[in-house]
Amino acid sequence: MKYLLIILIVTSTLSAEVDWFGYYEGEGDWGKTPDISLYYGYNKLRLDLDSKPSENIRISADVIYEQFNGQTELNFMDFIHSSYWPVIPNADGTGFDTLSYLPYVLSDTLFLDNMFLEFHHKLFDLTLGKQQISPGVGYAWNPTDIFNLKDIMDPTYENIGISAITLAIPLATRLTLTGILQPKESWDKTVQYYQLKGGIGRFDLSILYSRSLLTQTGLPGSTNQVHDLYGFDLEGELLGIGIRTEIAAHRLDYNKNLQYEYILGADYTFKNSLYILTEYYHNDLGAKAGQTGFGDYLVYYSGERKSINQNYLFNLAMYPLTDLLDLSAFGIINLDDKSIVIAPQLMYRIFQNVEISLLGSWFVGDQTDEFGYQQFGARLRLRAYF
Amino acid sequence: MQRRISFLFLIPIILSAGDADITGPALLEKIITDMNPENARGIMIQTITTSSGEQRTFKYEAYMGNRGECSLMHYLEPARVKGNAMLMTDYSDNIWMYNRRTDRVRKLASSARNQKFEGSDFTYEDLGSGDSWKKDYTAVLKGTEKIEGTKCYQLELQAKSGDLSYRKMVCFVKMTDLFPIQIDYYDKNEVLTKTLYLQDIRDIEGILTPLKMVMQNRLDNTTTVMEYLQITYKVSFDRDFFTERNLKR
Repeated sequence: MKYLLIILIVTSTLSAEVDWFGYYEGEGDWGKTPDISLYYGYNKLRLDLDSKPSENIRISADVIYEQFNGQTELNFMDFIHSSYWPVIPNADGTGFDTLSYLPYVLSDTLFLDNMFLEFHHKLFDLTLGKQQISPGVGYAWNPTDIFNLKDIMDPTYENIGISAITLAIPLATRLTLTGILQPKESWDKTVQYYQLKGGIGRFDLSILYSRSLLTQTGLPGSTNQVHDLYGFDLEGELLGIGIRTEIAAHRLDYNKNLQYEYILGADYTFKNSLYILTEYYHNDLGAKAGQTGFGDYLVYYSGERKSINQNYLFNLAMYPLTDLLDLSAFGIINLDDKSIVIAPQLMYRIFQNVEISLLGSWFVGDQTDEFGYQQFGARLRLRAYF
Repeated sequence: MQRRISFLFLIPIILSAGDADITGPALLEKIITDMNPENARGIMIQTITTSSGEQRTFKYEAYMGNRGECSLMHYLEPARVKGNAMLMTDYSDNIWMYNRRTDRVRKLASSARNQKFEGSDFTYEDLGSGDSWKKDYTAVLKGTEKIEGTKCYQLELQAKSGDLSYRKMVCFVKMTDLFPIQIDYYDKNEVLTKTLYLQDIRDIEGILTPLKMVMQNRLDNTTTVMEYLQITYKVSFDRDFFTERNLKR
């Protein structure tokens, strides 16, 4: 399928008008833990191309080049309090050592981020290729999203494309059945995702089912198990307050009960333009208070679970100081270990297509808490679109 | 549901003669009845001039259907928002925003509708025909006045409740063709906050259309100009056109 899409993109480029656009992004990050001070940054170029060789066909792709600088060879263990470091058999099998070094390298990359073909028919929409798939209505967490990893410190940042086949069939106005297949080496491993989405008045709601293989990284190795997800989401408003909820019931094997993951959220815009959002997140799969271990950090940072612990609260406030300058701040509270991160941000649209943002982060908690080990952080980001 | 006035496709009015015996409600009825064409499609440029004199320009492809009940806007420029889109249905009771880069659709709560649209002097409510004027305002004909040499009816719309975005609006409607050329917006303290000027009025496919609309914010000292680069009324859409399916296309 990949080669077919490349051929289609090339032929469409030759035969149809292609729209080119994208952006440059430069970022510098600084972080401080009790033991180290860390700096790294990157330059990123995203180049999009979009073509409509006919009214019913759209071909789109984008290439990303990222070049990292600063401290690009990191030790994963530097971000976890030493009390969590595991003891493992040493290399020569003569005893045990504490695992204090787990390398993580930021490498320069050039990759095809998205590359897909859309075919629109009166009865259906078909999308083939590496594409954006963004299930769920939550802002900070999406329990029903099995495809993407969200950075809790930057939840609206774009995701990497998913290689999939998506078929959306409109059944009625505001009622659509969508099926997504993410092909793997066998049908048993292929990800299946089915969603029925409808709308009633000021509410959108959907039910969904998915089947996939869930990888659980651990020491010494990883395991896979069948993951069935039964989901529901709802987005709408009551008395002018935006409300959203998203519920996922996970069945990780057929011998255990369902495990639940959900968000409850609300947002409101005041007449003076102050916007506030709050979201409560619960995850049965996370570690209970006082039971956090190294394995929880491992599966969280490897993206196999959406949280370390079970209960969180995300709060966001945003206010436009001027037409071009926004001030915002968010706070994330781990309700299990009571640690907090608070992050104010300034966003300035310098020119029509240039924006710059400065984010600070302040971590509060004990050193063994999720948000307590890091102390401070800062991020400066410049993005120029073309 | 009451039909509401669309500012997205402001404001085509079928030519009609002035009426010496016209009343406030009748004039409002006439305006509302004639204001919304069945369907329209156009390309618009929106230029925002901030209080510091900086300018931001947006270009949209816009669709309107069922006499203003539904509208769909696709951003063409600038590059920062290219490919994003906004869908409004049920006379702006429902608003969805689409972000192309994340393929994510978010539904806006109604509390966001009186906010500035892309930092402009139009609110989502203004753009999305949010004001249910017939339902929410009492129309009182205050007399006549000359606006830049043009004889106009002065139609005052007085809010029926204190919850509305505007305490009152004053429309200056040309006596010759009952076409509004200026609307003054007053806040809850009856302070004049914004004025909309309807300019470059031309007959497009038999429908009077202001090709240029200027919203002047008198408090922030900012201005937003919306201009049509293209517009046609000879289009038709089925009801399913204005759905999330086309928001993403």
